[in-house]
Amino acid sequence: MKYALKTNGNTAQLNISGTLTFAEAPLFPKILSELEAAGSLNSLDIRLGDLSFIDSTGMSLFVHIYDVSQNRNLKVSVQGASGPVAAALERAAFKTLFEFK
Amino acid sequence: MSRITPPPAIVSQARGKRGLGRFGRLAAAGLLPLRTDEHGHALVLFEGAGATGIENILCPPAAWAIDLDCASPEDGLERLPARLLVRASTAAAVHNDLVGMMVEALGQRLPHMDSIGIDVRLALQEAVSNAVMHGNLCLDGRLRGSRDGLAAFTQAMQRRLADPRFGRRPVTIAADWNRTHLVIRVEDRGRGFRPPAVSLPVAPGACCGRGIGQIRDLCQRVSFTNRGRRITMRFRLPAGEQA
Repeated sequence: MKYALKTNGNTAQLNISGTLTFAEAPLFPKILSELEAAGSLNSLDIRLGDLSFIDSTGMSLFVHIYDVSQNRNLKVSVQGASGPVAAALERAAFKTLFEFK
Repeated sequence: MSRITPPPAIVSQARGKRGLGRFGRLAAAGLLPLRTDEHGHALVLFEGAGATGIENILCPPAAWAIDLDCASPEDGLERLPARLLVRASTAAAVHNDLVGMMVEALGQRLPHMDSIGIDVRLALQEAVSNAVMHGNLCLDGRLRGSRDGLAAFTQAMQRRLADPRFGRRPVTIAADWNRTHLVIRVEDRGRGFRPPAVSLPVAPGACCGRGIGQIRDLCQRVSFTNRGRRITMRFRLPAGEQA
């Protein structure tokens, strides 16, 4: 898995590519810390167009991002999920947590 | 030990002077229950620590792939009937996509599996994740429910992966099939657990507890044996598959 967090003023974009599975769990605290260190944000776009696979451990990263968003009044949208990734997020009812584009 | 199968062709990718190791010698003597068929008759030995380029290790004619870095790699294989089997150390299972490797190898043997391929991959991924994280590494998924817990969880994961007592425990994926069904077993050497009788829906905001429910949703039948250390997942194959 590769990720990149870019900020522009009050908005941020998190690109995640590759596969997001249990093997990547050690990266989750780092991603969340970077997100919190990004300053005062109003919105976060999570871009998953290049993410090919996700498992339930990978999905737990999004739950933590949701918790961060609730604490910081941050609007989060998810873009570009397709195929098995979109199906997994749909099955987990993540549409109740995030706006999907 | 008596001879139980004809000896397989052995392909060693192990480096250095290790040779075939005890496992390879047993296999060469025909003392391991390796099944062969038209798709595979070769045993591939590899070293999981630092292994790279093993994604095609189960391509025909390979039938089994065994990581010589596992603790006791020959133990319990007679309980895992398989045409296709990979046994890797926990550390290798984290650093390599065993699930992708297995699904690719199944697709080469069962070309009509395409329509259930993603279901097989999703279910197998959850089973291997459970075997690695909760089985062999003895990590409690509930820890991930908080940020502090997530940090503790991932630190423990890394610490145990580096500890041979945990990192060398094998994870085994064994696949067998006939004309109508595919059966995949995943086994770990952890302390076992008592699987829930039913899987209730999980709240979208929950950090854990999705895996077994997802497996049950995707398989025709699921069972746990060996005190929860072995999961058996049965899939109905699309019409047209030939064993």
